[in-house]
Amino acid sequence: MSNPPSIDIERLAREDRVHRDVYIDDAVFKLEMKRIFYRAWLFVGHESQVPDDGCYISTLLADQPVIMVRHNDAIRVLFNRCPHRGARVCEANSGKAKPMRCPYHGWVFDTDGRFINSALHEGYRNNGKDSADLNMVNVPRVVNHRGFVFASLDENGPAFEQALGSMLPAIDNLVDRSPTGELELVPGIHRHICPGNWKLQLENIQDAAHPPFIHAASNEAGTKGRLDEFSMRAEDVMYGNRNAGDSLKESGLGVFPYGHSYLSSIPIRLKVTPEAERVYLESLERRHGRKQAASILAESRHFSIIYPQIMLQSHFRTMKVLRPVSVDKTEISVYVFRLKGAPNDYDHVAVQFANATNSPASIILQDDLVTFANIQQGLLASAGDWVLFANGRNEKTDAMGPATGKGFTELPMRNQYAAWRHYMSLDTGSGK
Amino acid sequence: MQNTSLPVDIRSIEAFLFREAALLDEKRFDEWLTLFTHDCHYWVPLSAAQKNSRDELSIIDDDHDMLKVRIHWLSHPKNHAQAIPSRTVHYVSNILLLDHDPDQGEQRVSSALQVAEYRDGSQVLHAGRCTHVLRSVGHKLKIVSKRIDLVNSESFLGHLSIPL
Repeated sequence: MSNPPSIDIERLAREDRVHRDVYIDDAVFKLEMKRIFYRAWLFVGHESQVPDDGCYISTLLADQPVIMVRHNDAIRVLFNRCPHRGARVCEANSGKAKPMRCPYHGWVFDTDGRFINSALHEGYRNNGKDSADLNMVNVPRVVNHRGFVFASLDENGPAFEQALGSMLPAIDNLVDRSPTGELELVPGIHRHICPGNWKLQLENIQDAAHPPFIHAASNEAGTKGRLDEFSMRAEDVMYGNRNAGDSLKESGLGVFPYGHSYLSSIPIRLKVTPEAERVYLESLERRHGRKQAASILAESRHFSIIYPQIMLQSHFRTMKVLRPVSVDKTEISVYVFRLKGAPNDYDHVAVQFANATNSPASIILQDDLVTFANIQQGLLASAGDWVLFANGRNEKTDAMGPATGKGFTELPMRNQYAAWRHYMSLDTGSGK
Repeated sequence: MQNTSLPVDIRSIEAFLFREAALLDEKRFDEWLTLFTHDCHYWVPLSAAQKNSRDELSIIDDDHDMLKVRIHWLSHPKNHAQAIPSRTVHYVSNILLLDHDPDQGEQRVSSALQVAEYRDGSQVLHAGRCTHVLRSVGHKLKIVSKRIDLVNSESFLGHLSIPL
């Protein structure tokens, strides 16, 4: 059992196993929020969500209410908190407000958080109070990488390049697939609850061994020959998933420091008409040249984990972002991207794929979701303390990667816990 | 083949919708599927007042083939999401005839839908406005499209196994 306030990190996460407390202990969860989520680089939003000056979205980074707002062409991320009495300045999920006005007492702020005016002069303007206290607070570090806005709640954490540099090629590959080098969000964001600890989701995503068991029903339901005729997308999805198990035995994966990993190709292709493909290829070659265009399309990072929060499929223009809510509950948001300049077919298949795989009604995803609840309940049993990740352990791994593996290896999980140990062992510098 | 047809009366339409609901509660999914035309569209939009399902994400956007796959999965012995099966009751109310297309023999019907679902220790209420397009085929009614606008479609949802 854990022993608040001191938690023995090395005891909880060993080389090839972790203690069940990491999934069920509230004290561990609270420490994870402080030492991992308040420090790591987190995805806030995509710049296409705030197209014009003054446009904003309200969101949560871990449990922190923030807004992402366009301020004179640059993107800012501010804590959504009026310095007066603590109300959220932006009440709606999204909008356009320049300047921004707090709903409670009408304090007015510019879109970079700078205090402009208020109706209450006494006590705030004339009593020698430092006027810097009246500004909304900016989140300490923000980086806009090719439209993907990241922020860190801690000014002292690892630098962006240091922490995420190994995974930026996965984002770049997605952006480079657009003939104009630009992305836009497809309208709508799939949202579902993972009824389990946030780490279960990351441990499942690159787990090659479970599809034949967990996804047996959807694999067989989607089998050609059992039904009279198949629409394109049903065949694509189920066929790909059924064959994923076989090809994953052979496909490789790579892990990097800070908990990141990627899984290389599996045999799912989003089919478009030959004409659409021809037009797309031509426009991509015009932008990148033939060789580079071929290389971009052949990129084999099928599924990337950008620890602790993002699961990205560059080929399918889909990005899942997790947010821990409590020790046994996680929110998942799924973004789908349009490739600007590509024929509409490309958007349509990405939408179909996302609906089939990432909707809360997805017949593939649902069997994973109940499994998370299943594990969360099973771990309450005091029959054994350890969760095992020993598969493939003969492979060379440093404490913090990089390394490669194959097949049913549980290397990505071990790599995640190496990062977990690293983050959890560092004292919080900023005092949050 | 009829080119024009009279609208089906409200009582017959109600009876059809209640029967559809009963089939779902009784888990007679294969029979439920036979209520749909082969060009059908079963749609649960994601966004409020969503205009189309080609360019925007949807919770469910099934044609007949995909609906068939869904039902096959639902009853499959290796299905995990329904290893502990749900028990449901579908309430259909506030039924209104919206319009009638005599050339197609189709009628649009609006209703309020609530589905109480109990599974493995928790009870959930799904609620939304339902829009059916029903086509008269011979003496029978068939579902050309069924659209369900859940009131909480944009929230973080738990897994949705049962057909609404």
